Amino acid sequence: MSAAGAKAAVGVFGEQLVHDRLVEQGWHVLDRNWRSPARDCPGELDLVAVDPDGVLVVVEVRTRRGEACGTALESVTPIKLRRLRRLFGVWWSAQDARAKVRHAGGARVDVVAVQVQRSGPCRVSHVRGVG
Amino acid sequence: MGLGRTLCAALVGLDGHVVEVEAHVSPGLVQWVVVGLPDAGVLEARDRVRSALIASRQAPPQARVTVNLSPARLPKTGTAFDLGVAISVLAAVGQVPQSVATVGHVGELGLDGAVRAVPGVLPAVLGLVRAGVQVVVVPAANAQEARLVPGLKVRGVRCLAEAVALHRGEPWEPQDPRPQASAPVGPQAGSPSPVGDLSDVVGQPMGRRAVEVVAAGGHHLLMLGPPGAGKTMLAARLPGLLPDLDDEDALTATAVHSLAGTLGVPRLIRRPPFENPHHTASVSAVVGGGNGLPRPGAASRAHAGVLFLDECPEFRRGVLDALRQPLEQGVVEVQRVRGVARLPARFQLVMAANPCPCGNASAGSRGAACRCTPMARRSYLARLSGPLLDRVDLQVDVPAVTAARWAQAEMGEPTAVVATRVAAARGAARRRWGAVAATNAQVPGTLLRSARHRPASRVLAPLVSGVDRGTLTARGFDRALRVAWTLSDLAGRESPGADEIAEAVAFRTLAATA
Repeated sequence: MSAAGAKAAVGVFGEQLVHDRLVEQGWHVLDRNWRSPARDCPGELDLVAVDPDGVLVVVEVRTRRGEACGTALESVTPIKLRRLRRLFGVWWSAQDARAKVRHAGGARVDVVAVQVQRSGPCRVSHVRGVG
Repeated sequence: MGLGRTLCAALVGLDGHVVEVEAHVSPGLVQWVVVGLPDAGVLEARDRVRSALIASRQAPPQARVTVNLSPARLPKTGTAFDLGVAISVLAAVGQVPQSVATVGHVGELGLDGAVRAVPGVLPAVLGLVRAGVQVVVVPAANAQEARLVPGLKVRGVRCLAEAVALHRGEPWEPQDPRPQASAPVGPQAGSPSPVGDLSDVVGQPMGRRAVEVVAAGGHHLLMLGPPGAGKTMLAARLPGLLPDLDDEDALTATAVHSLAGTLGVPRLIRRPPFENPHHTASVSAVVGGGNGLPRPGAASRAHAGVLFLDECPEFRRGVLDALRQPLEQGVVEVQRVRGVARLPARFQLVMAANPCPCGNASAGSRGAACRCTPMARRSYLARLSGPLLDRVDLQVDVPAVTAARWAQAEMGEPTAVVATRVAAARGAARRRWGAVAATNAQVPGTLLRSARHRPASRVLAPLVSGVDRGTLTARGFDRALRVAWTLSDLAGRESPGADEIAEAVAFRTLAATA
């Protein structure tokens, strides 16, 4: 596998892991790897889900294999957060009226960091309500 | 996750104010926020502290870090908060005990975790002690300086890991390669480098006498003379005649030089400092100023010592006028939007001037004739404003040294001999005035003219007639009387006689003719 392929594979692995965990915890996933159709606001939302309390959540998954380039949580900068919020707006406007009524109770952005260990299980930290 | 706090000090002028540094580590994205009126230098602490933590084997918190510097209204400048910020963050995550809340921290951090020396440690520590702080942690390079302050425990550290070990009560062994705290940079001490002896000065009996008198009485002095006559030599030898500074003056002078970054060797300045700013100096260079934290100017660095203005008519008018406040009040007030910084500036002013732009106008110079127009001559000394000159008690001619004088020049008295006389005269003055004034120059006019100290009217006659004729102002009367007291102290007399009065008047009249 090429280096770029390996990098993408780590990302996919992390997203799958987080998806499975959230579903296990009773989350209802609405969208996975949703790509923005808007040309002025390109990008992807890893997960859009409804948590057990019924709140709409945009989940950004960060997966890292080492800390050499900073930790997974550190890699979420204010600029990336701003982009996530904009993307969420695009996603929201693409929903039908009924969904909008259903989720009118508000929304938040969570970041889930997955630290892949050389051996043993991954370390997962879930930071709620970052923006 | 939690809250950690410790103490730092912010400097406003020369006053150290206690600043509480609070760090809150809370769930959230990794982010460092510093609030509480920090300037750019304090904001940079975020990045330095983060790197220093990593270098000291302390993982920076994977969470939101909020650092608050309180009181928030006090502007904070500089890099001396780094160590306090790092320690408060470590206290918040439980890496050091919460007891650091009562410990003062001063120091800049290097990216390798080294604790670097900062200017102004002495006034900062003084401020902490006054607020009741009993233990301070300072850069090892500043520890000696901080120990000049009595009444507290000073711990010098070379790196952040050492500070952490200190707070945990663990032994600390330096690791290799250990962070190198660079030696404090800056020019060597503001205290005088070994100055020449008074016996080096050839001839100039008047000049010598004047220097002795101002040393004994704390008066200000103006010397007029052609280039090369020895004005600068005389001025540079004045600090040698002055006595050692007392404890309070020594601490203040050392604090000023610590703040200015001119305290080379960290020890108490005991000898009167000597400052001779160049005549191109700006107002802020002389009286202090600059962005943010006002830096002491030459006037403050000369506190308890001598401020020498060579070629004083060449100084900008604004610079000379700015000296009026310190001459009058002994302090400099630097006005800023956010407040007033007060810096001590009680110095003895010594000015030297050529009599005209070409410098040869005085009668003593024969060879080179003065080629200045009468107008140029007149306007040259007129640049010294009246109010400034009026505060100068002694004005003397320092004529060119003639060849005959030069050849036969017998050695003048050395500094040590004159300094003994000066010390005796100062002692007499102190006994007479008590707590009112340390030197004759500081005696209030009312006390000077009071029945108890007023010399016989027969003796005062020349002064009184001078006031009557208008050659002497009311203030000039007092000033001449003060000089007369110094002359009588030097002569070992009880009170000034006719001779002293006459000499004092002679020392004043130069400005009237110039």
